[in-house]
Amino acid sequence: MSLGTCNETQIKIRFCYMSPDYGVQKFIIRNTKPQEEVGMNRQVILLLLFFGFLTVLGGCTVKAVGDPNRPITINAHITLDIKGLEKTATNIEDYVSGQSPS
Amino acid sequence: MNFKYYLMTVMAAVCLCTVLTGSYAVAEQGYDIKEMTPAVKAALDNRRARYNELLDLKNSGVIGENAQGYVEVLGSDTAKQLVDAENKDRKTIYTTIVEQNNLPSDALATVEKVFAQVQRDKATAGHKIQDTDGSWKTK
Repeated sequence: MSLGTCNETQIKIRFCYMSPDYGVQKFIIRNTKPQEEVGMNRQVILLLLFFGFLTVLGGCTVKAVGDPNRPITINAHITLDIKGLEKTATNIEDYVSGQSPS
Repeated sequence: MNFKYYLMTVMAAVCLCTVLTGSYAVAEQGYDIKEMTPAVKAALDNRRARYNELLDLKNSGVIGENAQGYVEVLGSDTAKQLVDAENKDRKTIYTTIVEQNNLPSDALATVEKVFAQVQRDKATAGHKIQDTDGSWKTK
């Protein structure tokens, strides 16, 4: 009989039915809540690991280690921030035309 | 139990914010002249000094802004010396932006095109500008 996710109300009902065998009742109570807690702790740990992984992935530096006689070539596609570039260009041209101080 | 869900939600939000903030910082880093070297300062000052002269030439249709971010002589060749000096200073500024922002060398073409777009936007009525398809028109 699995009582993995029973709530307090369910436990009380079972207590009524199983009151002659208090040992079973004790077993039920002990094995219901700790199982939930263990499950929750596992979820918390997994979540921590997952977001830790994301954080590391977001700001990690990749280092290639290998034979110096056989250099590794990595073709990286760098996307320029055109909006940022436009802003820079506008600022410079404003300065040149005397529309902004510096 | 509710507290743990709350804790998990808060942690998820914090981690997500951290990741997104990092990405945003990378995306919005902008490109600037980070160090005002003597060469860049001279280029900017020279450009500022010759601005009105170039403006007169633009108003008279002798020169125009091409699609590569430089001025181009369209009429009389008398302005060639001035145009060459202007283009040299512009090139100094463009290459400085590429170098100081650690951009790949082929980014220079993009920088030039973006400056050309800004020049087209800033051009006033009557100025000659070259479109991205290579055709010249009067704004």
